[in-house]
Amino acid sequence: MNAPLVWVLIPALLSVVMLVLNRWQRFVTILGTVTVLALAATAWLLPVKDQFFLGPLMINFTDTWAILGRRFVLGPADRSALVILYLAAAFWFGAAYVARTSSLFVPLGLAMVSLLTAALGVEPFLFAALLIEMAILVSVPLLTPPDSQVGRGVLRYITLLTLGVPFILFAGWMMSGVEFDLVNETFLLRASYLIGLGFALQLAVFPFHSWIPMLGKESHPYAAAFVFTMVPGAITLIMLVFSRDFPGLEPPQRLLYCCE
Amino acid sequence: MNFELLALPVVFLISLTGIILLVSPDWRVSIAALAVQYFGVFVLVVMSWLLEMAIVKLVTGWMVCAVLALAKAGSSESIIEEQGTVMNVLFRLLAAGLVGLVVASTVPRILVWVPEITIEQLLGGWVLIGLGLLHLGLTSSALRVTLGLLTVLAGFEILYAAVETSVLVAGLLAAVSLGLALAGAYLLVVPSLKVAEDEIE
Repeated sequence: MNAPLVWVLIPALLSVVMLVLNRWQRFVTILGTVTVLALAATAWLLPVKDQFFLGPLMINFTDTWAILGRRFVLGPADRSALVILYLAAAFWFGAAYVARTSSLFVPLGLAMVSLLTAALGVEPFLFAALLIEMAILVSVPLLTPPDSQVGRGVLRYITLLTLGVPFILFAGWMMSGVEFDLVNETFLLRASYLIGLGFALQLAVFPFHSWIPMLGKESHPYAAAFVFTMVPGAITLIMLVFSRDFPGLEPPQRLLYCCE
Repeated sequence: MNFELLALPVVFLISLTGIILLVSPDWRVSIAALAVQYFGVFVLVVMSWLLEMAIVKLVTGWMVCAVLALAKAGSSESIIEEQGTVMNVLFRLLAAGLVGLVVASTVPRILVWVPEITIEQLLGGWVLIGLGLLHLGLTSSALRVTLGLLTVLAGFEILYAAVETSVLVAGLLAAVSLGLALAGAYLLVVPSLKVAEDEIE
């Protein structure tokens, strides 16, 4: 057993099951809330990269899941991010039924959280941009439920967040080159500009913020607030993990020296 | 098959498809142009990737076109939005010409930055990114926004294929393109979804 299986694959599969069961909205809301609370609790309590006993069974619990030559790693350092992400999801799912959201809210919300968790753990980091993009695309039916008109806000939301992806991917490639050649300051500076622009687009930093008030006006306020919390929140966590892990960005003097 | 001989004609072909996407008022023509555009993307990507991997771009692209065509086929209107006037087409052609000038003036500098990319790939990718961005700036229709984003992503995929050959990236980019098409298709049909539910009841 491994950590990405618990915090990525299980919620992803459950979201599909909930999508099938979404006729029973109250049941799906309770199931979704209990699931994310349980996942937050396991992130808090379960020892990662360790062995534990479940009755007579000894279970090896690793932090890595290798797939297609790449890895998803959710180690002890990612625990706090996982707890925050799943507790935030529990907060929003808990009152979803009372807030009269669309029946797709909890299943698609859980799929979004699962994709954002995968983005948090994927290595190399640059693939996170693609998983974030998938989470954004999954959020479209939340913001435009059936029988509603397509507003400009949701189109701008998809557009600006999708345009951020190429910048992050290209910057990731440039930075993988910098890892081998730490003296190439010009390359690092260009990569920093690209990644800054990519995150500015995805975090709705001025002047790329126009979709936020438009979505707030057009969509169900609860669904919009969920997206405003989860998407920029998860991207901020991913950015923090990235700045922690990437050696080229650690000392700010490098950039200052380059600017001189 | 030597795809490098096809590279330059394909650059012209995808530029033409980008312009058709920009000016065509008929969604059928637009989606057909997108399908041809994905063939061009495939030819430019196969210069850097194995044929078996590059074919994913073509298959994904045509699946994207099929999804969008199926979603739009239910709609009775053939015109995407009011852009059939001569002045509108002229304006868009002029803007596309300006994109061409920007591409021509920036390509030599980018070639120095990223020497892994061939000039044909850079021209093709950069033209598509430019035309896609122009497309996005001139519309608020769900189909056109989807087409614009797919054009930008297709351009980026050409450039990115030259520097990254990972299978997982190929898979994730294909999933993003398909997801974008599905989201676009959902936005095209969403106003009529409730009506359909009522009909079933």
